[in-house]
Amino acid sequence: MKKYLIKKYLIISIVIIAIALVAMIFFFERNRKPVVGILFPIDSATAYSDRMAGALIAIKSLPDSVKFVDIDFKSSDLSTVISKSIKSGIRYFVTFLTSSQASELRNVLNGKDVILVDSQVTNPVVINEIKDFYTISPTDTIQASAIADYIHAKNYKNILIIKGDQNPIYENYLSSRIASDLHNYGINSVITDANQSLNATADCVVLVMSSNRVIEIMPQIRSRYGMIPVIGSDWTLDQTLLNSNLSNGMIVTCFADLANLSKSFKELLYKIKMFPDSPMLLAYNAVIVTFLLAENGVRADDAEKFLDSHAFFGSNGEFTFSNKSVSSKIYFYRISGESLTLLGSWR
Amino acid sequence: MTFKRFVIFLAVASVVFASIDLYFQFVNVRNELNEELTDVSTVFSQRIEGIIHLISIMKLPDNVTLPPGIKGVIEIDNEGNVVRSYGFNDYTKALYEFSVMSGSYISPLINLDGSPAITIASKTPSGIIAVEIDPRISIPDRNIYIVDQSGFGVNLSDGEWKTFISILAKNSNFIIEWPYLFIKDATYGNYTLVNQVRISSLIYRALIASLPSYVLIFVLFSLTGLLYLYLKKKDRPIEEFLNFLGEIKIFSKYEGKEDQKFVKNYNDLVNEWNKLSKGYASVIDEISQTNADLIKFNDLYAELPMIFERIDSEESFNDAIKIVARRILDLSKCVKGVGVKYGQKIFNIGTITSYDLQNNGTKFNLEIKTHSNTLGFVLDLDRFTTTDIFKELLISLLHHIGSVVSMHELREERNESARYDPLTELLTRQEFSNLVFREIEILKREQGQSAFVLIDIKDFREFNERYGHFEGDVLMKYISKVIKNSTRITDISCRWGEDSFAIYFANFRKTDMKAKEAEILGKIKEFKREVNIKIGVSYYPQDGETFEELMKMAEERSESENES
Repeated sequence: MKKYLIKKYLIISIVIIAIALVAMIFFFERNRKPVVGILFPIDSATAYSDRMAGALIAIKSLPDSVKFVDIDFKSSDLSTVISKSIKSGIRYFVTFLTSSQASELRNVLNGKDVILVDSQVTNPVVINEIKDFYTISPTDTIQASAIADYIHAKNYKNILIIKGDQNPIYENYLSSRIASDLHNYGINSVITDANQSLNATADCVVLVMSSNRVIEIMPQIRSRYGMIPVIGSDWTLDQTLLNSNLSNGMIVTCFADLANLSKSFKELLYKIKMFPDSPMLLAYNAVIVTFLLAENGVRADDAEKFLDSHAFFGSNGEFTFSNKSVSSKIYFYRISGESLTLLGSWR
Repeated sequence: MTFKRFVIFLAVASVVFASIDLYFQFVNVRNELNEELTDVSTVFSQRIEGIIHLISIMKLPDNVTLPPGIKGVIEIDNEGNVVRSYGFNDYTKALYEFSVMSGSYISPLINLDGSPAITIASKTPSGIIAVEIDPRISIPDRNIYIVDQSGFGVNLSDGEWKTFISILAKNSNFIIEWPYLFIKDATYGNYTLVNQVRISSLIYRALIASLPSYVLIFVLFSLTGLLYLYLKKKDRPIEEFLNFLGEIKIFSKYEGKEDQKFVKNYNDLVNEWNKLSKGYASVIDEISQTNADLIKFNDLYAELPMIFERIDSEESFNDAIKIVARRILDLSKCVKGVGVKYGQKIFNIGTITSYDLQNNGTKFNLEIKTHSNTLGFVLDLDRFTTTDIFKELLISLLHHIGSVVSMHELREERNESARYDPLTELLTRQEFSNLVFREIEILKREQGQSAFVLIDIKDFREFNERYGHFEGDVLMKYISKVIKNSTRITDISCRWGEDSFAIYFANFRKTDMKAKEAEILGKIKEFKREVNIKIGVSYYPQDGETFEELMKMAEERSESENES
């Protein structure tokens, strides 16, 4: 009888413990927040401080319903780091990649139920190639049309397009696209590499490269062509360019209206002693979009439909998606000393 | 109290004590680390403030030898123009503007030739002086990072870069990001110091700190064991020791005295009795409930024949089925819905939907074969309150309903057979008269025309005598078949007399009648025996406007044909 009782109590105890365990697992699983991974390269560390500041301001302004985690990577390990993160259960990512870096992710992302929102990839081929990849920037096709229209409006006749060598997918596509659009207007253009000598006749130069390369090549341009107009693509514009006298007078394209910022955004920036720039504002928007995707538990298959059917409120006001990229205006700024003067916008 | 109980109490108390102690040690270790971080932060901020103070009062000479730790120095005038610069490469707009606005400026981290640097600027009477310094300070065995406001951090000891966006975004000073605990210090200037500690190492440190408590517990257990052995050796009853423990107030509630034991046994017996009483009461309740159910069932049994007796049309049959469904629903609260399916007809009430009737789901369902159809029931029974007895009574009732419906079907069938002649399967004369009478009324309103045909078998009695009555029946059946095949669905035909047939051709023109007459006669002549037939035809409205007039005319013509 006693043995029977002990056995009975033992079984009851085991059942109660099992129920408690299952309830706990169920409770934690149910309350587990979706996770968004923010990928930053640490090998070029401080060059990304503006994007990081944008991301940080966005996270601070968002509710606590989504968990953000920092994922550091070295540029050579990008694919491995993303693969590991996917295996650890992260389904949403915010990135700040170049088009060339993004193209390497084709095999890593395709076929997985993950969504990657980038703030600065612009190459339409790369964007379409990777199934669940979205960008906060307008595509290079749109930017090329904007630059060609600007040149046409200014009546420049001979254009020298100089492309860099750090982000070949972006640089090759955008420069050839600009040349093609200029050709449609009957404007002559020559594409050359940044490391080649500048021989072509030109009354306007277009630079498709990073800001560092701009600083390197500007002395050559000024010595060969004097003070002719120089137009830089979106990648050329960051704090490096603003802190250099060499870029004074240069015209740059930008995907954000830097003057049209909310008061709270400006106050937060003042607190951390930084000035706004385009990558920062786009990083902010990328985090906001990814947060909404994660909070709503949007699956990869439904992401495009979700993004196309919503309007988002970012650092620069409202924006919408179309064909996996943001449909926003292209702004033309002139670098005047250490500040930017808005010349106009193009859509 | 038994010794076993005492040991269990001791063990539980020890585990609770050890857990609480471990938690407090964990908090202590965490606070110690926080204090360490505050100390480092103080040293760091003093260093920065010292530099700011120094550069705010310094005036740069023409030639400067930079002291160790200072990577560059720059002097800017009040308009933002560089006056002097020694090894300083990162003069930014932010440096000038924020120094002018705030009096001093500390930059985010920069990566200068592979090592971290920060710029510290201060406003002086003549302009602004800024220096670039390496922020790292030597703190061995600590993973402390200096993090700028954009979220980039660099390890103070080894210079490793790391991002801290999610850590800075949180308001708490202690953040767990498995497997690390991040301890965050208040932000100074443009920086936050973050200590990254492995949670496992924290637990390890807490366990070490709790060691005295574990020793104490161990000693307590050992002493208990020794006391037990001592008492046993001295041949002194352990009860003596346990009695001593029993006197201690905290244990007394676990152990009852003899009189308390008696009361406990008595209480157990009372409880047992109460349980039995409750069981008895519930059985009585169940029986009463069953009786009440039986009364309701009997009422319905009595009512059923009355419900189905009143049926005189299809609509009233449908109403009868609806009433039955309603009555079943009213039998008990445990019946939540009733559905009845009869042929293609569906009736549902309560929680049963037409979907439940079309799909055999989880609901209780029963199909009963009636005389000429199938009667299906789907019932939603409450699984907690439906007793087995009720269910059995219900099944019996449903079968009874099936029987009542069968009886109704038989009655209908009987009524139907009265309309037809059993031999020829054509309408009887009475039914024919009723239908045709109605048709003539319609013809009058619509001003249509029609024909009446009377077919008579001549010398049928002789035919029967010659070939036998069985052959006579065969002939009657054959002619009825010919009539059925030669008439349209809208025409009406009947067995008019013992050896005659009548046909009413609706909307039939006189001109077409000759051909039809010939067709019928031709087919009858094909019978295996020789048959003599008389046919008389009358037309509405030419030959009369009433049924009687028209039939009379047809009879006369049939007779005259005979004469001719």
